[in-house]
Amino acid sequence: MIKKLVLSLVLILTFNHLFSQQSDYKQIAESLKETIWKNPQNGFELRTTSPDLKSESAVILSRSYETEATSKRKVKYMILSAAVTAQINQITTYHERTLLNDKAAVEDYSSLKYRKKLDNNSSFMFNKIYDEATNYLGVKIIKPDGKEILVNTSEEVLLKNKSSEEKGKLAISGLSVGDIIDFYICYVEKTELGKSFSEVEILNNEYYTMNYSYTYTFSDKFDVSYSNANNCPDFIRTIDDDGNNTYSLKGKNLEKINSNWWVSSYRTYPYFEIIPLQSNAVNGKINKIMSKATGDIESIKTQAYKIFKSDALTYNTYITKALYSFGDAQSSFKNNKEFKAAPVDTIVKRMYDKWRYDNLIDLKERSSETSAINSNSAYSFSFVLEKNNIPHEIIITPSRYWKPLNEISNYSDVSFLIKINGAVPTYLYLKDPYTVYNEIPVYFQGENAYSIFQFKDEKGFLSKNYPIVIPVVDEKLNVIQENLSVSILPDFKKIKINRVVEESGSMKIEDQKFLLTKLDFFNKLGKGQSDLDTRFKNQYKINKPKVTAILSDEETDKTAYFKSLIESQYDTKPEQISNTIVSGTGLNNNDEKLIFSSTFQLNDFIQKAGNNYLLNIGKLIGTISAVKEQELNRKFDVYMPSARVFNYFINITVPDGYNVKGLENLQKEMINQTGDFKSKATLKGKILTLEVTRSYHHNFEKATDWPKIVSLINTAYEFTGQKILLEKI
Amino acid sequence: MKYLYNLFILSFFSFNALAQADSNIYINKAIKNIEIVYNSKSKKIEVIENVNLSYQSSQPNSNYSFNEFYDDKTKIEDLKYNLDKKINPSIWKAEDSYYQSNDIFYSDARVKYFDLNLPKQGSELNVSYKRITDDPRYFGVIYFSENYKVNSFTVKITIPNWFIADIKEFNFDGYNINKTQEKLKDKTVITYSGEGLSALKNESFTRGLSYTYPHLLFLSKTAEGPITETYFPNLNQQFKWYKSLLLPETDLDIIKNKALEITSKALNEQDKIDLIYYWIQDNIRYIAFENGIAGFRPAFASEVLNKKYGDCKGMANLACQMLKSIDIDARLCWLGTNHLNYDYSTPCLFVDNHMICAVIKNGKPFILDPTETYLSINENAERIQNREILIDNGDSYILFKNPQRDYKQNLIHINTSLIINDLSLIGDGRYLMMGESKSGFLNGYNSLKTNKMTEALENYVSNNDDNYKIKINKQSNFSNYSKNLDFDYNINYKNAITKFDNEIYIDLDHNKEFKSLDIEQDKRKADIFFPYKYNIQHITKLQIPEGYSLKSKPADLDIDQSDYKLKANYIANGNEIIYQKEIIIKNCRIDKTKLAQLVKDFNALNQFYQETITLSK
Repeated sequence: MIKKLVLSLVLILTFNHLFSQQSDYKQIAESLKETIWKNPQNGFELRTTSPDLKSESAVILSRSYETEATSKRKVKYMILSAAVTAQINQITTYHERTLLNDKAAVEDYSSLKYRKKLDNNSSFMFNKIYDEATNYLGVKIIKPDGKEILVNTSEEVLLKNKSSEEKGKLAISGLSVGDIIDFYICYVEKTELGKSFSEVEILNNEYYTMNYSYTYTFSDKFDVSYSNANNCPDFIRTIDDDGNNTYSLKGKNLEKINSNWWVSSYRTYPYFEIIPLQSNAVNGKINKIMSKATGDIESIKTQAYKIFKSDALTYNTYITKALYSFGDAQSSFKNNKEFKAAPVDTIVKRMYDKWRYDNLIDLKERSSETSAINSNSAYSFSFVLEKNNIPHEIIITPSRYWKPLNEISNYSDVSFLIKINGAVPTYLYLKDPYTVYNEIPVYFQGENAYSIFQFKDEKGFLSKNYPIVIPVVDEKLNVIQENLSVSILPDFKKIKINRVVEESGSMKIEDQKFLLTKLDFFNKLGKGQSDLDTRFKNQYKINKPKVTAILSDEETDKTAYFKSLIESQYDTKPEQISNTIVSGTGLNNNDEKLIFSSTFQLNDFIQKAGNNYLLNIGKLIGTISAVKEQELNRKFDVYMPSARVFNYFINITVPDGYNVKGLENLQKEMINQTGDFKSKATLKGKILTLEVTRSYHHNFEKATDWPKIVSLINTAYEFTGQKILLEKI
Repeated sequence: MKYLYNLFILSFFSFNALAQADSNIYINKAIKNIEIVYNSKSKKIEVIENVNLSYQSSQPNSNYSFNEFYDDKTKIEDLKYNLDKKINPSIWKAEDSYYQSNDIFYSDARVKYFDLNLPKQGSELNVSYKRITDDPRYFGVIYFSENYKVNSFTVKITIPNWFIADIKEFNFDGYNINKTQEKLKDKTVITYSGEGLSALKNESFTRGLSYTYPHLLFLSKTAEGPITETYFPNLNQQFKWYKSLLLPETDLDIIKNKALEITSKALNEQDKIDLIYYWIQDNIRYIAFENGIAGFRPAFASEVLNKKYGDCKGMANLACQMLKSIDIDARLCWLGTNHLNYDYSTPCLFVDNHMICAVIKNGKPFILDPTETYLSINENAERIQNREILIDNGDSYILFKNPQRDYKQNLIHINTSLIINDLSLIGDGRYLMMGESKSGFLNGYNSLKTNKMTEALENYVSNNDDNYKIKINKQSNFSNYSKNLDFDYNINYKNAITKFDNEIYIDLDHNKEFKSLDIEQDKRKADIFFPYKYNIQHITKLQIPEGYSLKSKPADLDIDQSDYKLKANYIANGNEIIYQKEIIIKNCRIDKTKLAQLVKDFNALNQFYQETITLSK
């Protein structure tokens, strides 16, 4: 704490000086050096580690992160009115002391890149709007004999050297294996642009950390909320005589992150979030409440409600689009009578399909990524549904790869779904063109969520909060089915495969992105509907060269993707690829499959064995890696992409003059509560049929069940090594 | 050594990896007018290149990328374009940034770049700019090819009579390039023109464009006009210029003290050389600074020693100064690595790109390249073999041709003994690596974190096969680069055996080096360059289980060409089967006319790999 105050003193005394006289840069840098490296504590005095850490590449003996922020309000005179802007002054210091045990670590720490200066200050009439920052850097090396060497930071090179921005790079001199590097970066920022200073930080990183601390000091102009999860130490709050609040957190002995395989970091590693908000000083109220954010649904809802009910132009364009889509849907019925008689699901599906076709597909743009704002889309959709008395709810949910619902703290933490309460509840996610009607993206499945608005019937719109759980889609709906016809070429050096792949549910989206063209969207969702036909033709007519070129590029990319798909599946380069066809787009609904096929030849599947041949039949189900020894023990829960099934139906034509041996080795079965692996092979005449099923029953497993998943993976891996003998008769 | 901007074209593809030239765009006409002029304002002789490129698109929506490098000796001016007759807006400005590459920490190389969309089929784009080089020393390489296909080109070089220069032509064979020379009253105009150049292409198994594409080397010799200048009329002058850049060492004591400390246990002079060489390998990191004259001038040895990093020049200087400080006759050397298709018969700054150190022993140079991190002192990397080395000899130089080393230097020897245990193979193995086999392995190995090294070694030996488990029993000191690298291990290779009835099928080659030689054959421009001379020797002994005998084996492979050797066979010897394989690349450069034979021979190797042995009861 003493150190903290000293630091504050030095920095605050010099603060106003920082930006007025750049020549003082060196003086301030020197002053910081003294302050930060004086009176080492919290592990910054350490020079060794315990013997069990000797084999670590590097060990962070200590690291600290300190932020001090002050805010003052100024009246800026604009042309027609005066506005109050908040100026935030922030000083952030990251300090780290690390023991480097090998060359890889020395290489890792051999240079530092940083933004040295930012100057985005602007002027308007007599006002200066501040947005500027300066970085100060200090590096020293402690040799194994204790000798300290100060790195000359003025040896930096500037990779960008403009008046508005300087970017620097420093080669760390004198660094060897066995050294300790002790460095800090101090970032001094002054801004009036209303930037967000909130931070979410996972404590673990790629090196073992012996000591760590985070300290945030805010003046009384800030309200601060924070959360900490997954055994992250709690913040301790202190208040000084001036009303400045300090939140500090520290701990010891953090494991390094070893693997990110099926890990949801925010559900696994300790992390905290801290959110300083400037108090509403205009009203003279300073709300000095420190609260733990534990899923602040109400504030998110309030914010959502404000946006939804606003007259903002951008939001109104979303309403117009939704109305347009509904109108299109309505006119797609023969007459009003048919429309009125149609089930809710049918109407909403037509509206949804038209909406995504109209809003998420742009013929003029190569990418299908959309900039549609999910919350605006959801509420504008809701607005139209409400007007037409279609019962529905608005659901908010975080992604399963983000903080859980009980830890969310702001609007950007959640996504918005619409739940239609028809005969069977259905979900709409208005974000990407590939997500079909009633498809719940995998990253929301199983999440705790909240219904925040409910339109039940003509009686009106409710805004009651109640928790729900987003359903997990059954494995049977997320299927990859591969149908292979395999023949052996006459020279017995290669095999020829005709491969038809059918993908459903969550298994199709990644391939859809590369295998479908904009023409596929038009043919599936737009064609035959006069209004959409016209819009397509208009777009095509106005931008003909560009659209033609984009469609041509998409076809070229599709061909390349076929090749890469085959190569990654069989881990060998395919030859003679032909008949690459996409015969099903899977764009219409959840049951509809993406179907694509190709014919190609592969090496590496046949081995000569005297007069006979060995066929690597196991490899026909694709490349599967065994679980490595170091991954056998797992502490963390398993976040798999989805519950899913892989089916393989493989017909192999046995060459004339050969018998097959080894079918008995292809009968396998491994079943446990996490999934199963089953295979069987039969021979009828000249056709050998291999049927294999691999399934994972759930999208989530506890770490304790990891060995069962390992069994499944390793069984599949071992199967890929199976061979049959084609014996010369 | 500094890469001059002209040479950045060699590494262009890394910069432009994400925006490879659109093959739907071609250059109708490329015109370069190059002129040597005297700038009376700056009182300097300059080289002005006026470049005018007329592009056309064969498809709509074609994407064009412009990027030109320059540095502190050159500048690019008047860059403008017009697309379909519309002149670029006056506010338009190309992006301009430092060029950053992984190899160079910092240099003065900069790049100007911009992208354009050519909307229609037949869109016409005209790009023009002027490049000014303010010292003819730094001007030299003129390529005719571009990143886009060139339909026709003209390169006109105007040399005033008061300027003496020489022009060397490279790789003109196979191209129809016309040359005319017009001697006018006060100048000479040399014009090269031609048609139909394919776009520059980055083919596999190549070294550099200077080996493949037609180009000129412009050699500035002297100027005796408005001002008098001597550039590089001969190699001696180039050497003198290099020498003039060397600054006297400021802190000899610190260097000597360190050298004495390092060599305190040395028994003789060679020990001292060894110890200093390996100390630099182990303690000085390679970090290249190539800005301005620093691209040619070695850093002070004391500075490199203090910072623990340096580029080739600095590391060579440190080695040299340390050795000299303890009375060993060490010299600084300049050379062009095999990345460059030039030698010192064409004196200019483009002829070399590297600095090393040589010790004169018994009147003969002993070559030390301190940047070669994991080679022993007696081993030379392929890149400096058979290259001319310019050795400092006081007021003069020694031009020394570093001898070619043969493939034996780079031995990798795998020796395994196996027995069959149910469906597994178990036994012992031993790896031995030397030369560039060793340094290649150690480069990857030492870039890993300590706790990943064992796993990496196991993956290397097992060829990433999860069934092939090894346990290291004994290994040499991997940090002692002066020795060969070797290690012994136990093998447990699960599911290695395929067994049906009374027959066992075994594939004894787990490595299958060069299984697929991925060389572009179609319209290949370049000769085939292997990175170094491979020497792979593999012996596996398999104990035949009782009651079994060898029933079948692949036909022996025995290919011995002048450039490579591929040999593999199985021999039954009592109760053992001995598998022997030998893959030797004798010459790294294989003429492209031999490509078909090369592919055929390596296919035969692959065919050999595709056959198992059969043991039967």
